[in-house]
Amino acid sequence: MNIHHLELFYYVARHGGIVPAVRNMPYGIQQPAVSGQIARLEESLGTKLFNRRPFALLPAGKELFEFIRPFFDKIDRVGEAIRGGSAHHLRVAAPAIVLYDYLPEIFRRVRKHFPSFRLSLHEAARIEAERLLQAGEIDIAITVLERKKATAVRSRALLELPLILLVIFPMMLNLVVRSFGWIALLANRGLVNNLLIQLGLISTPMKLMFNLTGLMIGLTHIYLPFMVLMLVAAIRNVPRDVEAAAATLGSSRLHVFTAVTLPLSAPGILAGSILVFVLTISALVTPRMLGGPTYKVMATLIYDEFMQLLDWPSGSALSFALTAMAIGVIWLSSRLTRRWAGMA
Amino acid sequence: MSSATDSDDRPGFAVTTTALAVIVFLQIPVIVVVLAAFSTTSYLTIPPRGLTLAWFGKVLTDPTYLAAIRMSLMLACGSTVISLVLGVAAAYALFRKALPGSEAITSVLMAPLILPAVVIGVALLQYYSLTGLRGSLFGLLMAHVVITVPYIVRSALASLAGLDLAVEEAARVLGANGFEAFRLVTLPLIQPGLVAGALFAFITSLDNVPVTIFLIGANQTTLPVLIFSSVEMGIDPSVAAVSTLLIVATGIILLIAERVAGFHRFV
Repeated sequence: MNIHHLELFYYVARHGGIVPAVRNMPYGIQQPAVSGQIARLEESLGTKLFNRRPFALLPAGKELFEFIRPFFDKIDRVGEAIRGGSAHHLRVAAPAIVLYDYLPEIFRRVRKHFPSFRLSLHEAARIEAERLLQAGEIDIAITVLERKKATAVRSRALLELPLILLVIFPMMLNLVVRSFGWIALLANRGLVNNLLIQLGLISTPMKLMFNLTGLMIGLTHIYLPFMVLMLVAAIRNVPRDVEAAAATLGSSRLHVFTAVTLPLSAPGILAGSILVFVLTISALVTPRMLGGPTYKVMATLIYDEFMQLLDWPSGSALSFALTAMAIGVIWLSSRLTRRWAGMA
Repeated sequence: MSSATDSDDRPGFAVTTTALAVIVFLQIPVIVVVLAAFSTTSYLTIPPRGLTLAWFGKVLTDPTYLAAIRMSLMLACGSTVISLVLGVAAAYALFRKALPGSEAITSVLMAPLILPAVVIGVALLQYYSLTGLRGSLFGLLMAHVVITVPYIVRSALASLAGLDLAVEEAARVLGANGFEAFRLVTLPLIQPGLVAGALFAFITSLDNVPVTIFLIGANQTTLPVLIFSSVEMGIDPSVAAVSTLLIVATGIILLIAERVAGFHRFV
């Protein structure tokens, strides 16, 4: 028995076969060489240590492996500790693109602060990285997580592009642009009418603009994201345990929603409704663009009084009325919310 | 959330479908505008006939559009910077309760979020007429500060609320003066919130028609005001082209903000 043979056997036993061992060994050695050395080891012990294929440790091999394993497991770290760099060694597994494109720069920056910092890199995709992590062979894996994560592994999202961005995006987009999009859709020769005519569902264009229908569609679209965001926050605040309790007690999914989730998110629904109401009643751009100069709402009337008719006193009176309505609705809703909060 | 309930939480088919339908509905006008910008026809058609970049060329060489874009960007940048300075200072003072009547002041600062924008527009119009600021660039810039400052104050107050005052006090104990402690400790800590707030402010200014349209001088215009009034004149695909440019710019800014500050957490 010499220690080099034992080391080779340690790698073979740990990685489950000669071929995987060669792949995982920290120094270059060819497979026939490993096979030869292992054969020498078995010869000196006078017994076989493992079945080749499929790989399985035999009792003698198991005994030997258990004895040498703690030694070889720790030898690297002991060596480091003696060299004085043990505190700053990190073993990372990541896909190649991360290793090549992102890590070098990060590594360079960390090195600046910790000159003794050492990094071991493993190229691995998700499943392999998870296995390495659980086997304790790496400290960190950078990988794409599908919905579920492995147990006993802590994970932190580095980058996520949530679906909510698709709700925020139209909200951040220029109001004029969005209204313009609806003109293109709803006009007499717009997309909706063209489509319906081509499908043979109607023969003459429907009147979708310059009336309540057009305004309703356009304004619903424009203020929908506000409602979505309010409701996301409201539903997130409903304690999960309460829903789970209802489900445990035998409620169907729909019943859990109507009996638990909906009442508990009512304040959020009210707040969202008030917000959308106030925004809609104050809207100028969309009603003007989709309603044209003839179909009027309060805000467009105020605009006309000031800019076209130059009747500022009337416009001011209308402005006052609009403000009073908006503030009145907000005041009422805040009273209502407070009463609810008092009841709870 | 425990992992045991995870599988039960997964939404069913109906919920997923509805959510996707809503998300698609929200993108429809955006897609339509982008498609319309590439049409070779001189009127607006969807789906577009042919494929041309001519309308983009027209927009980017048209002095009216260029002047409007420049004006919009200038107003948005100017009002965001001014609002940041004023709003962060105000929020900090309110947070440290340096002033009596903090709550009343907060309400006043937030009022432009609740008041109808048209009303702010006409109110400022009358005020500016009396003071002679009407049609001046300074007046317009200040009007944009009024409508953008609530976003900064709101995000700064929210960020400050999550702050441990002890770190700032620690900085003071270690010899920093008040301003240094704020600049080196507090400011970096509230920075992500401020990035999001500043983005909101910038986009609000860039977006605004109801205030701007009442206050803008005779031969000036901003991009949204230009689009708004050109729609009444009749539209050609150059409106779609300039809208497409705005859509792309907004998308890029949003993605950057998401990566830099995790923007969606602040909405």
